[in-house]
Amino acid sequence: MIAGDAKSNTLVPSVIIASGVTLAGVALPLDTSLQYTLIASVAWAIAAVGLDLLVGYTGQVSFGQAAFVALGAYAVTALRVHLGFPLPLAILVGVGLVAGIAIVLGSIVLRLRIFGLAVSTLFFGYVVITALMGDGLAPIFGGSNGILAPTFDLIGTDPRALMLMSGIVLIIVVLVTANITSSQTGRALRMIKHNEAVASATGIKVKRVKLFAFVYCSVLAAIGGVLYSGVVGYLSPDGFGIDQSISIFAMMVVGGAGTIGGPILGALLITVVPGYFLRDGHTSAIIFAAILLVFLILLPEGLYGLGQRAIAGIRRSLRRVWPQRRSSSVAVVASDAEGEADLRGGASRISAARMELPGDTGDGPALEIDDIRVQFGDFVALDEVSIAVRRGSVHAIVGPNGAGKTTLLNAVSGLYVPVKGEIRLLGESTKGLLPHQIRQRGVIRTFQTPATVPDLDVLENVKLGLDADERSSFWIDFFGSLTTRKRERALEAEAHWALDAVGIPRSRRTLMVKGLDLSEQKRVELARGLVGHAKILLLDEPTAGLSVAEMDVLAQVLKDVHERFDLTIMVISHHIGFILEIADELTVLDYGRVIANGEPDEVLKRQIVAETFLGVEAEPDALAQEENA
Amino acid sequence: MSLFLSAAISGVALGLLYGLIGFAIVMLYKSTGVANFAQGSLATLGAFVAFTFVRDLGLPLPVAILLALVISAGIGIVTFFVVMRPRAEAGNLNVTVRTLGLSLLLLALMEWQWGPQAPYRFPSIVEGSGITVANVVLTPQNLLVAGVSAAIAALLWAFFRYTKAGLSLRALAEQPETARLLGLRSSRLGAMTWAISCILGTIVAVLLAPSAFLLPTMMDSYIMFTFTGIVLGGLTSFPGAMLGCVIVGIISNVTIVAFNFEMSVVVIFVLMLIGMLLKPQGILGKPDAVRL
Amino acid sequence: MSWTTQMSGARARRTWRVAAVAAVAAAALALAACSAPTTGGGEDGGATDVGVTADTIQLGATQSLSGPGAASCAPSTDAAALWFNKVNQAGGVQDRQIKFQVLDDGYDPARAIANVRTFQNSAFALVGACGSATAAAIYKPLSEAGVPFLFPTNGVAEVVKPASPGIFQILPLYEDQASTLLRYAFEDQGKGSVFTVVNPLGAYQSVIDNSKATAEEGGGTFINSAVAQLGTPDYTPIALQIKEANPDYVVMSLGGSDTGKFIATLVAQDALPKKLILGTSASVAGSFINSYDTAAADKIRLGSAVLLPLDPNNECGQLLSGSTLANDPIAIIGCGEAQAITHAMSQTTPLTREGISATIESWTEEDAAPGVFAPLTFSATDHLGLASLYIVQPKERAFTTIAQCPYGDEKAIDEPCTAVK
Repeated sequence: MIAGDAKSNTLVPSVIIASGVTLAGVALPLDTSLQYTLIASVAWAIAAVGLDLLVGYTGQVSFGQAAFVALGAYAVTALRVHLGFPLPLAILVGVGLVAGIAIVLGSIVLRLRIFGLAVSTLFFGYVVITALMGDGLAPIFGGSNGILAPTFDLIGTDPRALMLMSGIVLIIVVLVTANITSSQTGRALRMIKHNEAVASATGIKVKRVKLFAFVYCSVLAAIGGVLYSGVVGYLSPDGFGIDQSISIFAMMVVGGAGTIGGPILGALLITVVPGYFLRDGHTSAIIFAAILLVFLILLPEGLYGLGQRAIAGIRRSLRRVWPQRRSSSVAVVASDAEGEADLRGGASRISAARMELPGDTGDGPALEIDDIRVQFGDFVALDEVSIAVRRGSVHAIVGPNGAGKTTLLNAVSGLYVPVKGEIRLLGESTKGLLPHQIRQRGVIRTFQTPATVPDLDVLENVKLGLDADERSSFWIDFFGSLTTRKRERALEAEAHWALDAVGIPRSRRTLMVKGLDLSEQKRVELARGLVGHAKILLLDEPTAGLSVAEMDVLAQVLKDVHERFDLTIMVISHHIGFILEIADELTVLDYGRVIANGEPDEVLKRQIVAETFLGVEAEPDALAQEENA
Repeated sequence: MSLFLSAAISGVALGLLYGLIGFAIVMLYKSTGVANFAQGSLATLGAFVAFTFVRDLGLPLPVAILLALVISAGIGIVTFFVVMRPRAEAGNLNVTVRTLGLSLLLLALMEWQWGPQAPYRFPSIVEGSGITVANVVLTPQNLLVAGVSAAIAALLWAFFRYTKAGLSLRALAEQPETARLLGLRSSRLGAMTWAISCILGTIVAVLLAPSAFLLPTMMDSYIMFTFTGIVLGGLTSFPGAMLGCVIVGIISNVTIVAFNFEMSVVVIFVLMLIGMLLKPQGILGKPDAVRL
Repeated sequence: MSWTTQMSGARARRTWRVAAVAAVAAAALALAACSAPTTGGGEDGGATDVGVTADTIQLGATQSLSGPGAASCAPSTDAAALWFNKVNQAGGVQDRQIKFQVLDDGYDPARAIANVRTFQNSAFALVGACGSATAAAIYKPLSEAGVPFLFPTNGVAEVVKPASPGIFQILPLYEDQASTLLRYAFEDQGKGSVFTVVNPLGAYQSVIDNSKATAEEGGGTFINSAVAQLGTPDYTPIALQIKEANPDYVVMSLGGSDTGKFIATLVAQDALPKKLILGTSASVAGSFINSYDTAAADKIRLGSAVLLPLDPNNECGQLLSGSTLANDPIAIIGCGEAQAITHAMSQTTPLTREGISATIESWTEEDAAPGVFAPLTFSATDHLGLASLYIVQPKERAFTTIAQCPYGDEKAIDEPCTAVK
């Protein structure tokens, strides 16, 4: 993973930071030069916050952010100067144009890995600056001479008015960004950052969401550019080159990636210090670079993290001096009465939903794997594999390491495409379907290493399971809790119900998942599988790494869930005892082929199965006897 | 037509230079997973050290270069222990931005110390008039660069394939925790990697300085094309890096001659995008696999 | 018992709140005190304008003191500082000591504008600025605020044409230099074909356009042009184009180090033009003379605003000799400009911003910096002071002046250049 943990609950601190900066700029009697530098830093801060959503929360990179700032500034200025657009129209059209460019660029470069993305966005920045500097566009953009940007009407050059306007824009940007990161879209972003393949399997439309993050990032940069043009009053390509893109990136990292408020602090540091405090030339440049480096090395969590620790420290010493009444540290999400009703509702919702799902023809296997062959280059992982999973049964898959069990699950959930054969879900083929589409058909799977998002809490992780079934909208998420409150409450109620079902106590539901032990994490993942409207549950080694006692608990939970909701379950496991307890049917794989299939007790007694697992050499006579029997 | 041919040949010479710079970057990436954005500044610093020995101490050029290589190795080791190693668990993002910060610091230091009188004439290792091929003159410098590139490519390939140290570095890059558990001394290996990378950088800078003139920002304009060439050819492959860089050099010079500089930038950009769409891991790179 | 435990919860909370507010207020006041703008001038009768008191004159400059541009920019304000120092030691201007403050802008227009805001209300005038991007960024705000902007290094025409109040420039624009150089070359060696190479320094397209226009007016031909980024890694493709075009003249408008690199490539590729290589004053810099390939010296002619080498008895020559700035054309220009400024200030009584503008506008053939610049002429509509351009040639590691040519679009084109001993 390229970036560290992203933070939830950053809305309040981030808004405080943004407001603080605005207030300081407007209210304090500052030197004019410092005021202007402060306003410029707000413009860069907005660009840095946009970058934070893309990098800190979605795990991508972009080294072309300054180019988007330039595009925004130049587009709006050109529209005003050459076409005489009034400011609001110019902003709308200009930022819209930049969004368009971002959509086109993003659709191409987001397919690449991190390093490729870094270099291509870097080069994009270079292309933009070359074009702006060049001759071809000089009549519009002024070329290397630059272009004078007219001031904003009604505000002119009054520094306090400019500061107030910039500050308000910053605060709005922070609010919207924080709303997004704590919404359904935000959870999707975090999952993508963690693991894209897994995100796809949980139903997230990865390409769309990544593109959204990229475009959002660029739009914020463009807004920063518009502010910059109004404040500085003069645009030249020099100020938006690679160095500046790298600066914005550094602002985000030094301030704290994944915090929203952090990049604002970073922008302040990196713009104001060399722009106002260290202006003597070489020695100042050296000092500044040294400070930057020291911050990066000693404060990996950035200024935001430093601030958090400082406040925590102050709180602790305050409490020592002045003890408070102890208040419960766990927020109870829904009031009891409502909660009860929802819990009961949740259970009936699941069964009702299940019966409504299309394609349910009543009889016939829930899952049919028909003679598939999966190969990677020359290596054949699965061959002639046919398995029928009866509706409502628990079907176990066993086999030695490397037999192809996980590959089988990956093929069913759409991560691998078989070169031969077909997979049918409730009678319908899954040929050509993407993982998130298969998920929408009701196939939910877990992973060997629990695919939970480590920097989200338990409740949020479980809510992720429902997101695929809810219709999402980026626009609704912008407005945050106002519009999403009802939906989030409903999601939470179901999440609580699922967590009850798997036995995670209430007190642990607001903890970060990475703080839980393995067995708990597995159960959280299972809970996420339960809340989704599953028709088929695919469990990949749920017992791996668990103790005997924990395995018992898990077996109990699965039996319980299986009975209550009549779910079809396909489970991979190494633990025979566990399988005997829960499975109705057993398939044995070895070297990518099915070597036995049937009732667990009976299959396990077969000689060939014993050989596969225990390496027992059968005597030729005994084998012949068996075959003849 | 012949103009294009000459341009293409000069592009090969340019590309070989990019590739040589690229070796140091690929080496570091293969061993540590870090993209070193300070490569250019570190290399230039090495060249300045050699220059100081020649100009201020009057040492003969070969001696000065050798001493500079030794000092570069030292600088690399110090960089590793002071900048890269502390709190390395901060994540690739933080560590990569550190290299950017380092680049900024080195640049500021060099400007302060040597900026005012820049650029400087750096003595050439080889003199002579060069050979003419298809109306373009290949200077003795170009030929030396070609020779050195081939030699270093071979050395690095052998190093990573056959020596214990090389294999350890690859293991360390791919699975750092497992490698450490197996007993690989990651500190020692990390320091060694940085030392070698800095030595490689200084070699390039010393080869480049006579024609580019020695100044603190000497390598800045090369670095970006080098990164582009590496991404095109394969981040983890030495022959790939060289191939990608040569392609970039050829396309660049031919388009400048055919159209102009701006067009060449756009063409390379489009080429890079297409290349990455068709083969995201680079022409000769190996695909990245993640175990689910 | 400590007083904190004695207090009840509610009172304690209120006390903390009051303390917090008091702390914030105190901090705000402290910050305000530290950063209150210092306005110059005011009290005694000697204050005639912003930045002027009875015994001081405050001058400011925003300059590239750090970053890559520093090497070609800092020497000019360094030299200016030396000159102001010298004047102060001799008693100052009108009995006032000059205070000179230089702020770094790192060649970033935004920082330059921020620096201007600092100076607007504290400095009498702004001195020099390096590079077209910063000059073009700040001239309008300066002009509108009535702050004189004296003699920047700039290639962007609109800074001086049309003339803006308070903005004065000495150094000739690159595009007009290109024309002058070609006229000189055609006079000296006959008309011929022209190839132009430029870096994107201010108004480079005009340099190309003017090359074409002047070449054709003089009966020659214009073959082609090429644009190369500053710091381009490889000039070989352009050298190859030139080799194929085989021009009589190559006109360059390149930065100092790029000029050296470009010429070295021409030599290496055997692509030197048949007659001459002509360059604008952007090439007249230490960065060029120290690095260029002397094999091409005979063919190089550059335009220069200053007479080179400086007469050692010349005031600026004496001032700079013995330091690293000696013979640095950029430092010489800085010293010359500073000399012109003190000259103008000494002629202005009372010393006001409007007054100094009027003084400069009244100059006709004024020898404001003797031995450095040719006599300067300004008017209400012409804010560009030089009317002639020196033609210099590099000889080994120094420049020599060989001719002086009339310059400017209003000057008669038929006036010939005069040779200089």
